[in-house]
Amino acid sequence: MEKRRKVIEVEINKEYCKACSFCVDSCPKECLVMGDELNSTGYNFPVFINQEDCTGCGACGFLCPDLAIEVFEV
Amino acid sequence: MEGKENSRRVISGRPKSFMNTKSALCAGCQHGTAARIICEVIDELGIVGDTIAIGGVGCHSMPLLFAANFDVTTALHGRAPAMGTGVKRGTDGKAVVFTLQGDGDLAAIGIGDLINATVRGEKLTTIFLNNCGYGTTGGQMAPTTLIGQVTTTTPSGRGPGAGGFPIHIAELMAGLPGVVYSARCALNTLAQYKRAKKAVKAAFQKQIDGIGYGFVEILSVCPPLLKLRPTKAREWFEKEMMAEYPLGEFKNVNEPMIQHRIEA
Repeated sequence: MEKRRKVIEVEINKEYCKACSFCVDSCPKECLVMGDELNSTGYNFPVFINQEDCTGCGACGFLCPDLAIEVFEV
Repeated sequence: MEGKENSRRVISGRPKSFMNTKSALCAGCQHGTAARIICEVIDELGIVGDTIAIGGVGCHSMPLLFAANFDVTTALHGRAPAMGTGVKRGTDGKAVVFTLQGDGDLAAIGIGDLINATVRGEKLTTIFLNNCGYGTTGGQMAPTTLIGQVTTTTPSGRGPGAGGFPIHIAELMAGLPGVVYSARCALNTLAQYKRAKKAVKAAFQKQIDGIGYGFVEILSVCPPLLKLRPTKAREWFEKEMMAEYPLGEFKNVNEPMIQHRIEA
């Protein structure tokens, strides 16, 4: 039987984001990319694309200067 | 919905003492991360009700002023350690008082207040955010500006001839007898973030234990001051700023160092 993998949820508050892309640079597994969509202040915000590879280190959440990202383990 | 909240484990959530508001800082400014570290440490030590924060004048105090869930006040430019002294003595030493200051506030106008607070033997904590210039007023040269760095008041780069040399506050503080903890940290990677959090916690713990003055210098980057995109500014930070300012713990002692004492 396959060992149950931990499932990580990354919640991105797109209205708080200012597109500094520190989360994208800090992710060791390249699970986040900057999207093309804009928020109400005109910044493009990151999108969580790769849930399979995410290890749940929380680097994106800890290093976000605007506290727009929260990471949870389900 | 509540069941869902309980079943999932928080890896990096918003600290309880940091209210859910939008940050007023520029894109890529790491003062928000520094404020987050302070709030996490205050939550972990369980001192939300006892803490009084003294902010200096500048961007560095904005995240705590707008979003902190504990008492925050601001002092005159550079006078936060003097105000912290008053708050600490006025509450009979019961309050946990820390000052949050920037490099224009602490290293330029407020360095006398900071040094004299340690000379008086105050038991405070100072968190110093160093970003190599005056960010709030439009990017003038500060005492911590690097040699060769272009600012609005040094358009051809800071030269040692007229501009002088960058000041290393963490090493300076480590040489003072009243200071029991002095460290310099960065916020560019997760490992550095965790080291910074450990240092801030140690500096608060020294004050709570009544040992002496705790000081932590946190290097951060100001993209508008450098006129660079946030990602480029962080590359500049890793290449130039970390070469000038070595990271590490410069002092960690459990009692103030007294060289000579007259025996009665």
